[in-house]
Amino acid sequence: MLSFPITPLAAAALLGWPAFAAQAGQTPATETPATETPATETPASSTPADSSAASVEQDFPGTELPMNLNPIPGQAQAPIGLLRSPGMPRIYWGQTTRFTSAFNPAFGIAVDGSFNWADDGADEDGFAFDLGVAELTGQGAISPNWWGNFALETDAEEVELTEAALFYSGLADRTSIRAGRFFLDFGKQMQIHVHDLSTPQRPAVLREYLGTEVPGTGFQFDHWAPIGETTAFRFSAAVFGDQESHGHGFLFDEHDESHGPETEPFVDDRRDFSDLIFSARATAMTDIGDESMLQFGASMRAVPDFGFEGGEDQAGDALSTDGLDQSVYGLDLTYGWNSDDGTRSWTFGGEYLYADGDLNAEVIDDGGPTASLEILDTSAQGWFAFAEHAWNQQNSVGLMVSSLEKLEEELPRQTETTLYWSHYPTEFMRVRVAGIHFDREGDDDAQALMLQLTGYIGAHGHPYNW
Amino acid sequence: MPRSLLLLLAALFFGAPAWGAPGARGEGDDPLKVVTTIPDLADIVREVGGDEVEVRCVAKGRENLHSVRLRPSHLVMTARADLFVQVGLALEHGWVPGLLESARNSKIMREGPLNVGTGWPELVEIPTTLDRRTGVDIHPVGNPHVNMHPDFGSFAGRKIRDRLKEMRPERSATFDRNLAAYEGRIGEHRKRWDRAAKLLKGRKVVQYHKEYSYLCGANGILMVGALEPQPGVPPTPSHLARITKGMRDQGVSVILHGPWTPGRVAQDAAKRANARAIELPVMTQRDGGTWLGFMDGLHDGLLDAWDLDLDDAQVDG
Repeated sequence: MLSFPITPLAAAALLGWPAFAAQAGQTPATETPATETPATETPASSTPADSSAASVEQDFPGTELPMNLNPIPGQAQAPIGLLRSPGMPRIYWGQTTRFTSAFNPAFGIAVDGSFNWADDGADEDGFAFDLGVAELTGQGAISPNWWGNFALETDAEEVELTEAALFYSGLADRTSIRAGRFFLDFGKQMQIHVHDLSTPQRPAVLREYLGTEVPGTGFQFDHWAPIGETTAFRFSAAVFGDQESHGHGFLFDEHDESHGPETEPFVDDRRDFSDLIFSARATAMTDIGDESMLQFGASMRAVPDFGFEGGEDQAGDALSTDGLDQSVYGLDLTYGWNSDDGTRSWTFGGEYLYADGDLNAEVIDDGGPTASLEILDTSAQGWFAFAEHAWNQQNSVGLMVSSLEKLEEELPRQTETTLYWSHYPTEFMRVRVAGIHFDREGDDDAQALMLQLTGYIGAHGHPYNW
Repeated sequence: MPRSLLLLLAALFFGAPAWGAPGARGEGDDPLKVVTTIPDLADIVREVGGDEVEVRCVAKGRENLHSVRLRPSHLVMTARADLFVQVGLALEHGWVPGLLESARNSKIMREGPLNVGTGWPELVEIPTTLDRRTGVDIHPVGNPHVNMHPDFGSFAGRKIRDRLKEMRPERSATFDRNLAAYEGRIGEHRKRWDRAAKLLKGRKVVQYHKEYSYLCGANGILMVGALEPQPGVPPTPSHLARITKGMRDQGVSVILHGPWTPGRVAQDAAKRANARAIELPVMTQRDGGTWLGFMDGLHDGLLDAWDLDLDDAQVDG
């Protein structure tokens, strides 16, 4: 039989803590003194009527303590069950106990999927059920000036951490910084998750030049300033160590194997500071009359040092090349009108993109003894535009067109046209029907129909900025 | 990354505190810059604050209070505000948190907005459980549309006075005097509202969205249902069939709906129930409206709904 020496301290910890707690005047975690009332205080100036309901409200985080958040007397400095001996990490239980969830983040779930039919113009067509994404988000305040969030996404094949960042707003008015993993702030669209877009999918030009979703790990500074009474100007600048150009793809975004093995961009783990990925955005929006507003912006992303990898040579060695660079620039314009009662709206928007540098790579394998990666070092451009009209709170219809030079040899032009109707049975539910046509130079046209269903459970939110 | 970009970043980072200096906000003898969510509050702040406040308002007066559309000027005025006033009770939950977070006014974020609805003595329709199966517009602490209760002007006025006294203690007497004068005028209007209530008591209505509960409750009007099957859920055909049948059976002759709700749905339901659909405002109109005028209009609208004339009626008091 195994035996363990039990030290006096361990024995006390195992057997004696209730007695210690009693001696210290503490109350076990599950008990609240009968005389304890919710912590919300009634202002001295309140009328007697105030006190009857004052204990049941929290209108805005940080202004009033909601009910049941009162610290349990005696436990704020002495959490139960663990003793922090010298050398152990500091333990943060938030003035409660480790079994109390009062200060936990707000969690939310989003589910986005579609039933669709697609004909890619070649040999593949038919129906499919696609789970676009199932997303778990969490966000909560750390202190009055700090908060944090995370987002986990899965398409049922792999799980990805798309967001995990800390935000600080105590630097100055209208200023914030964030560090961690977050989406690229580029144009009106790229910081928004696909399932939250008002359009059924990311416009083709953004998918091609930047990616369906582009989370990266880095640091971002963000500031806005008023100009006069009706205009706001915002800019952001970010540095990333890495950045993914991933997504859940879209109906026609699967890699075409007829063009050889797929190639992927990569960056080295450690680089000079000047070789880190840099992005910036400046935007201004202004009132137009009492019902409309106009926003325009300029964005850029520079990747000064990266490489491509993919395919292999005859010896079986992976092909790769590095020392590449590319930049993408964008200009965007958005106009919005809302009716007096807020139930009807028109939105028009568009963005022009220009990409320059080493934009893609292709495996050249003519069956000879060697294979190589051929870099597409050129410039390309494209745009998207959309118009959307909501005729009541539940229904809107939109048309989006995106045209671009595809990042392949000869830069063939593609034009994607999407017509969609979005129906919101409630503010937490969306049903969307869309028809998509893809006109591809040098290739057969493609088309798709989709019925998309999106639901939000709990507190859904991402750190989107205007 | 070019060196110039690095320098720009550094300048932005270290220069930011200077840009954020609160010089644009009201200081010293300047009027306090106050932003309110709805025109009702803007009017009451002006009444209580007088020349000591400069008030701007976000909502125009015809919107759904839960989802007011924001524009750049709202961001600017909130960033420059000394005080942000809302009803609270989750009335403006759909847009105020985002506005405050985007405006990043450290003073407002630190002290919080003034929630004048906090402590409302008789909240109604408090949910027993927080479950979306029971509706979409679920307000955890109860129905938040307290701005249509006759007591709201005085209740909000006192909350506003107290906050203004904290911010400008040297003007306390002014705020007290302004509030007293305002409450006196409320009392004058109140006499007419009380007479109207005597005529309206015991009558039955159906609402489109439960936003007139306090108005009806204060006037003794019985609320027998809503066109929305659950709060925030658009009417379904089966629910409309049930509710209109119930209206006919119970002799309910009035449907109340707001400017933002689909009037045609209310009109169709009224037609099927042999009733009248009456559109009433849900808040004061921003341009030139007053809360007293708004409340006068609400009572007149209710009287008109039943073809009642206060001047012809023999009502005590």
